[in-house]
Amino acid sequence: MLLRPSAHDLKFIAHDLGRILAVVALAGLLPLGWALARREWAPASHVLVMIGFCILAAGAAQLIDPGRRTKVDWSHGLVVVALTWLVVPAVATIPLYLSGHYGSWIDSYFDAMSGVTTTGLAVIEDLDHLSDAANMWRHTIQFLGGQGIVLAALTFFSASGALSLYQAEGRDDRIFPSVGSTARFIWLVSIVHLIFGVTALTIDGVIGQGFTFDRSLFHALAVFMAAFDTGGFSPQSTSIAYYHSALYEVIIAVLMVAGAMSFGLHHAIWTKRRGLVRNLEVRTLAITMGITIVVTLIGLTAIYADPSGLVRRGLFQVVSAHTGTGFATVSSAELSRWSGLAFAGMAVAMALGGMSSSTAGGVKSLRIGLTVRALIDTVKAALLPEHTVMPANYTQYGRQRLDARLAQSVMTVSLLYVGLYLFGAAVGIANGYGLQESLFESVSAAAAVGLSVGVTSPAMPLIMKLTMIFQMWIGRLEFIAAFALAGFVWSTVAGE
Amino acid sequence: MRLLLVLSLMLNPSHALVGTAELDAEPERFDDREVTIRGEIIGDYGYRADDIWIQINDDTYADTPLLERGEPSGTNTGIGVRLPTGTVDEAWGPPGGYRVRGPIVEVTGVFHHADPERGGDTYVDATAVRLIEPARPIAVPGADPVLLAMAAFMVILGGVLWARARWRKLNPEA
Repeated sequence: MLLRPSAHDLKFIAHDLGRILAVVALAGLLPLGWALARREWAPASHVLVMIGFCILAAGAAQLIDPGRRTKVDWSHGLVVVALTWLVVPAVATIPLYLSGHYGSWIDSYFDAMSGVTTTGLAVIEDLDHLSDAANMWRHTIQFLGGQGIVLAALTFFSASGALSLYQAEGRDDRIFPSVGSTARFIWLVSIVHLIFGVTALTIDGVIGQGFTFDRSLFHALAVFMAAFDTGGFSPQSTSIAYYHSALYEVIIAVLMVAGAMSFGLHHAIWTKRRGLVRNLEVRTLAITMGITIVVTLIGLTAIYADPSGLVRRGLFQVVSAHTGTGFATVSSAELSRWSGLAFAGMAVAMALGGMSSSTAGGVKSLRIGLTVRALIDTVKAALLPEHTVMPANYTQYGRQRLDARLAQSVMTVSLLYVGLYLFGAAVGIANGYGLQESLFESVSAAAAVGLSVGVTSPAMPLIMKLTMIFQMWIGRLEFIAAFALAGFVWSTVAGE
Repeated sequence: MRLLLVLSLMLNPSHALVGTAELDAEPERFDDREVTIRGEIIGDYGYRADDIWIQINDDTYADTPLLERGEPSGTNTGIGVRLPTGTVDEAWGPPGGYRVRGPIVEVTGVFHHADPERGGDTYVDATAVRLIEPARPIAVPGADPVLLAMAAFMVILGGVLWARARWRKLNPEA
């Protein structure tokens, strides 16, 4: 029998959503400070309205349910997370929409969803005349989304059911026994990278590129947040091609790879744990990135005669695609000419994505590795004598068992991603776009990458915008939380 | 240097203008050929050791930025330009951004789709540059008092509600 959610259930959900909005208000202080420092009064007032709304909603939610009296279960966590990733973009839209740089509210919601899910596709208009404060807000929401909105809330507020909330957000690394300690470690890793990344980018901005210090710092902060959190928004319309600097691209590539690594791997490197190269996920990512780079570079020989340009462009674009970042050093028109093997290499790199429990999207390397491992085991079992016992193990921070249930779950999610990629491509084709460009854009949205061959634009049909918003949302949630929300809504309607 | 550039422009009469979208769409057609582009300097002046790098946009916002137009009309299009040292004049004014419509310039130079000497970069290597219109300020709006009042009201009310919830949590019997 399907049970209708009780008033208590709704109160719990409101309580958690309220606290998450309080964290969004806190994140708004960065663009607000930037606006005040740059004397951008109108953008400051836009951010203030959003902060005010968040505080009001958070206060009201706390009053509805001042404190939990019962334990929150797994399904509550899933519903809260699924709702969070719909509500936060809606709130984050406020300063974007008020900036006047969007043709409609849906366009600004598209960019906010793209930012929060660290996708990086954008339909903003006249980005190059946007205020620094609004631009900083675009990048701040990428940072917040990449770190994990719920994880950010768990850093500030203790909550019963913290583990269910943490895992529902697509993270399964428990680096420390408590979720709070794990959250603090994730922030520590990010802040260390922020210090090194922003310093390196600022120095190259001032010395290598001859920008003023304040502009270099602005570019460095914005680019860091988009690179480490594999977001892909850029402060200028021409993305990373704006900088014309090979060193800047190298620094960004290092940050993108660091962002695509799981925080568990960061911890293992920090604690000098041995045997990391035997980890299934590390091996899988290295192999798939190597293959996609080679395939793409072979494909690009038909387009670029000069090897230096070919390698520099090919390497940067594939790393950006595989890590799910979406930065580009070539224009959308140029990327659309990457056909044949180059297209295949890029599309596969985007579809596979980074590591689990990282800021990257896509199917994720661990699932790919486990799927291949399960397939190999199945073939082996078919070839060996009937009663042969085969150990089904893999290495991932120690010896792990690959049982049938895990293999099934991994393959199901992988298949769901393939289905999501095809669904978006079908919508693109139905709207008059070609197969190659529809597939590229669909994979880019669903795997939270952000590279575009020119389909994503303000002039795109509404149905395409809505489809991509859905793809970005459900792809970031890795399906389960979205299904839980659908079940919750259904039980509200049909439950007893 | 500036005199040389002006002379160069006089000796080489202006080529037909090429849009940056055209360069982007058909790079092979223009590769290693002299082109003339016209647009707004946007973002930053990159004063490097041997040259100056700028971004030139020739989209619909180059003459009239969005804040002045009111209505969005598409995304930005532009290209990077490498200028010889000493070309940029202070009289041009700052590059375009939120508060400034940047200087409008006409640049003649060689378009490189993938320049092997610069790691395969795509840009226009300027041989001549001419200022068409210096930078000018954009009338940016101030803070909207209605929005500020709304924000203050929501912050205060939200704070009161949160404090009340906290009080109820600490005094469950009350």
